[in-house]
Amino acid sequence: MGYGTLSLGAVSISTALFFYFGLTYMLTGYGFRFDIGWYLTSISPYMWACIGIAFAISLSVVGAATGIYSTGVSIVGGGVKAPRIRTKNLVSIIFCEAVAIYGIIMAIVISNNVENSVSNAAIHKNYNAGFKLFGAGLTVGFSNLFCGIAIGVVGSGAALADAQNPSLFVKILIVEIFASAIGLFGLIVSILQSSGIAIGDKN
Amino acid sequence: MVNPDQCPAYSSFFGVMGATSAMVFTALGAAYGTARAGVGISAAAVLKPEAIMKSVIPVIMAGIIAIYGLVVAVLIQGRIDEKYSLQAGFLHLGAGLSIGLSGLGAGVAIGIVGDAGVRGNAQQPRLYVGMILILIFAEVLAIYGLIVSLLMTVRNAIQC
Repeated sequence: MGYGTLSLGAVSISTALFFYFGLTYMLTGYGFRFDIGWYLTSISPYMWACIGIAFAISLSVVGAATGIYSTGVSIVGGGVKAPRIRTKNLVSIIFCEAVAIYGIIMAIVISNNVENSVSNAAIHKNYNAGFKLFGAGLTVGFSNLFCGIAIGVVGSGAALADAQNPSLFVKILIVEIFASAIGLFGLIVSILQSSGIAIGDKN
Repeated sequence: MVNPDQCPAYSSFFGVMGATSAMVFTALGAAYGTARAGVGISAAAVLKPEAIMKSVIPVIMAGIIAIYGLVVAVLIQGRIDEKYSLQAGFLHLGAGLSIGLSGLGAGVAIGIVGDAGVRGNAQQPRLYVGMILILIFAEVLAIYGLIVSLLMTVRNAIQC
């Protein structure tokens, strides 16, 4: 079973459970209890923000790790017959590492917006801030996850092509640069989403 | 006077999810397109190194899809402010999903077509124009999603 099958299975099972519970509540006359609004507001905005921080760093690191192992396997494998490719192809590994660094930068930026609050004032603003920080973390996390996987696949191809013909590496590096731009876009959106807001009393 | 039920505390969640889904799903489509086409380019380059620069077109088109998502995400998150109604939240969630899932489909299509296209182009150079035409049709799918999402984003929603 590949990753595609597992993720498709997880998404379809969770969607099915969501609709099952919703329909059960609705058809038995207790529809008012299936309350998304209550769910969103009963979870503390700190939880939203901190889960966002967690997603920002964890998914970025998973993406970077996937890229590194994809590329590393090909470098080591191709280097058996062509050991000269070792040093040049470390550039692909560094592209993957940059993805993880985007994630940690955003995690620190988002966590600077979370401060302690002792009063219950400005609840609306805190909820807005919590949701925005959650969205910011999710954006950078998933964008970096997909970007890391893409860089890994392309870097693997670059290493194997380099092993065949040394002049090919620089041209296939162009494709890797386009792949790393995807993570950069996620970083830009995440910075915009998390700027100018703060949880806590300072708003 | 606006009904206060139309402006609950959680309305910005849907707007934020719209911006996030715009960026995340287009990133997935662009990443798939880049990776798949990149594999094809790496394989074709061994056969014909001089065809690489022409073969980068699918990768550029996949990157453009990520830019569409970036544009929509920036537009949506700029409209989330203190007076954000639930209607605006749902509008922006729909806009984000529109460009996101369209971009995902278009990116997957560009990746698969680009992979086969660059491999074929290395063996038969007359295939190049045909590959470009098919890639353009795949890119247009993302533009349809972009049109719909922009229509929904710039609509004047209820202000609280």
